[in-house]
Amino acid sequence: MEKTKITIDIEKSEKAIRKAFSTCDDLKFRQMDIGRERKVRGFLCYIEVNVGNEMLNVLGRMIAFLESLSAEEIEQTVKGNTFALSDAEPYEYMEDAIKGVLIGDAVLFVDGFAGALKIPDKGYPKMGVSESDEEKVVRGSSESFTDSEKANTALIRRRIRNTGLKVKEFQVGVRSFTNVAIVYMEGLADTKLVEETHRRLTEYDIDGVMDSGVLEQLAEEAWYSPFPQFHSTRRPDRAAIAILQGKVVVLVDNSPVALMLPADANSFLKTSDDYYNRFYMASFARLLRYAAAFFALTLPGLYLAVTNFHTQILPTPLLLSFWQARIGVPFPAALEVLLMELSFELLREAGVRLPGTLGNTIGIVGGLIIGQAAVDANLVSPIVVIVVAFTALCSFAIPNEEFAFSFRILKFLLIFLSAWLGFFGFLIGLFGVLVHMAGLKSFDTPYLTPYVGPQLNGYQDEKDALVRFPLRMIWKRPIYANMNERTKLKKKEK
Amino acid sequence: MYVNNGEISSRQTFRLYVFDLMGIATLLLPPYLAQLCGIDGIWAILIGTGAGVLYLIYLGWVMKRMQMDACTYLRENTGVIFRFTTVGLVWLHSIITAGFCAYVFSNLMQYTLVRESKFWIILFVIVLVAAYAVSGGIESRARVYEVLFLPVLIPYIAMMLATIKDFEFVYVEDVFRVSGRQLLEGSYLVFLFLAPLFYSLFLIGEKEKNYGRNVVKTILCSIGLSALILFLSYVLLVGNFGENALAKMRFPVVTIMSTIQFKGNFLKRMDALMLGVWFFTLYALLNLHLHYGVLLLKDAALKENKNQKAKQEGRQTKWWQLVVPSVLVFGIAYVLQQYEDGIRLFLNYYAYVAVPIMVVLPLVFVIVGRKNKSA
Repeated sequence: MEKTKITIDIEKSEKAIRKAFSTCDDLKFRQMDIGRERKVRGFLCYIEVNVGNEMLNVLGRMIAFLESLSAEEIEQTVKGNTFALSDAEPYEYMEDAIKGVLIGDAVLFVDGFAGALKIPDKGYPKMGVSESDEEKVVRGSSESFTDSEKANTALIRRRIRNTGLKVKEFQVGVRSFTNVAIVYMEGLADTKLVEETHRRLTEYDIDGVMDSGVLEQLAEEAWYSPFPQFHSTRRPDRAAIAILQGKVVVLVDNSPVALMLPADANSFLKTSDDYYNRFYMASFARLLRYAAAFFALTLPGLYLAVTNFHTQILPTPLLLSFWQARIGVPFPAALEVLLMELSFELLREAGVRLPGTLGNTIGIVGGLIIGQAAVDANLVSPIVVIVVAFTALCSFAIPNEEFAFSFRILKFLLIFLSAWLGFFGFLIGLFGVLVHMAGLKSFDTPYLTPYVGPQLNGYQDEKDALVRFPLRMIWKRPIYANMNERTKLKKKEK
Repeated sequence: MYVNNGEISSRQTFRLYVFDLMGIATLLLPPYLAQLCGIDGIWAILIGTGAGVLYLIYLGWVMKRMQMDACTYLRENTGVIFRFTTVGLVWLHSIITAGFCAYVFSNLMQYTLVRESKFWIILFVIVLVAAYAVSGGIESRARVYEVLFLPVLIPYIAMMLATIKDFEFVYVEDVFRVSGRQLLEGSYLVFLFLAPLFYSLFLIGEKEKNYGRNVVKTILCSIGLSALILFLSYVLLVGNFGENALAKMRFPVVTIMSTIQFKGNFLKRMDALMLGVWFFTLYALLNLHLHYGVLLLKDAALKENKNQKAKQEGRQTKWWQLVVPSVLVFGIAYVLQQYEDGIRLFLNYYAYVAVPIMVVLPLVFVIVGRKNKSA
């Protein structure tokens, strides 16, 4: 689309702005006559509430300063940014000026000046930095990302005070003009990865981007996969760790969820306090999470395969107690498991949608009262309640919600296959999931990294996989970091 | 950054070949070997493995002469008729072997896990998932087995070692009873199970002076480990069941798993769970042959490329290139099921048709390629 240059004729500019913002009552339009002789016309426009009071005070002082100048001096002052405003690049085109107003800047037009002065503020109302509700850690910062991309960038920069930390900002959304920032460490992140990220994020013309999840879905290669190919986080420290590992972080305005890439299955099972705690604790917790992920996927299916098809595996007393527990239950075991799993998902969904304390109540009512009542009424056997509850517990132990969800959804596939074909169906399902994961890639990095191709990084990535080796032994950055900057830890020479 | 170039690493090659070689060999070989050689089957394993090593060295020699993978070599250095005939032969063999693998696989699953289910349903599910696995290409397949290697191998070895407590030395004492002819037959039988080595000619390797040397070295390690596992399994099976009983069993290695009892009595029988070992290894072999069934079809359809884009498009698997081999594999497995002893039928095909061709064909590749070059 061709852009319209801002001319020295302020009448034209005013018309263009008024036309663009017609019936936009939230646009504030302040006309002024400035200069010594009050002959120079100017106007300031901004969206109400966006521009903070502090910035308006600065503007007032600025305009007062302009009043003492002649027309020529005013033009020189505006052109030369004598006010020393940060980020005060003048707009050359009308479309850019309009976009600036929409982004949250105040824009000043002065007669005789072929441009418009951006007075940056980005003062849209937003939530402050609060404690993270998700991705809880035992040790480490409790700060969470906010809805503002600028604030989120600052939260990362607070953790990495280095000029190498680059923030590449652009707008996405032909109507929403949402700010998107690609944050990475120059030298550490592969330049191809940064370019590819930018390419994929801008690949689509979309009306509006209300959350990073929208961009994530559009930029994913395997859109049909239940597995997320971007690693999301709400924690600035997690994002900072990722950047230092050579990953790229994507921040989207209005979204408290940052995207880290490339992603691999292993990274979804890590938490930030894995690096803050001693390696015994971190490794034990990680092993536990791996086991939890496995059982979150397989336990109901395995239960059905064993109890319906291969009872020879179980010792007689255990088999008898299973059988006894099912006496009087009217449904087949597969339907019983399916019903319980669906009921649990329903409880979970209800718990999420209800306000805070009510949500917790739903968990107690559903889990304890309804569960107990269902067992007493012989609708389900206690063993199935235990299996479903344990599976749920396992899925909650997976630190990333999107990743946990993929296991929860695939669990139903395994339930179906195990109920149909027993242990054979279970193995087929498991193999299918593994084959699918083996074929997945996130920005050219295999999803099963570092369990595949570890030799490419000297087997160093395996030190931060199933178990976390002592920090002093993890001296190399992962495979996706820039080849020449792989060393991240070395002892100082005395 | 990783690249999608159809190449697999040495570690992946090693692990993939261990699965390809040991899975079906540990499952099918022991009863046939016991029939032919009894306990002297251990010597047959050693001689057969030795023959396999020689075959691999010979293939290495061929690779060095070709300096590229067989598909590219045939395309660039031989005439259309020769290329289509040889590629057609290898393709047909791949499909037949994949069909056989699918037949054994489905049989094993039906016999041990889901007796009530229909054979064709089991076969259909197996072929469907195999086709899905193959659609991901060799890199994706290699990644699966790179990950599965230790989780499959460690329990298998541990379980086999757990059978030592029932080992009867009296069953294995009486060695060197077998005739030379029987030993030779047994060794050839072992060699038959090393036939997947032929496909190493089709692996894409680095362009280097000693082309194929790394591949040969890696696969040599795979043969070593597979032979060791087979040897141990065979000794333990003979030591547990005796050669006469072993000769009459269908899947003795599965039966032996059902005899293992652990203290604490939590899990009574491990055979159902341990079937995972053959599930994954048989899938590896089925996928190997189906992969080449698809790859060779793709290669045959590859036009002499005018530009890079067309070349890239040609490399992508078209739906029919995946569906046709899969349907044929299903059909062959289904037909084999109709015979009383499908395994014997297939072994005869292997012994008298496939393996002799696989031994001669690489040499023919080199001779024809050279002749065309000099012409």
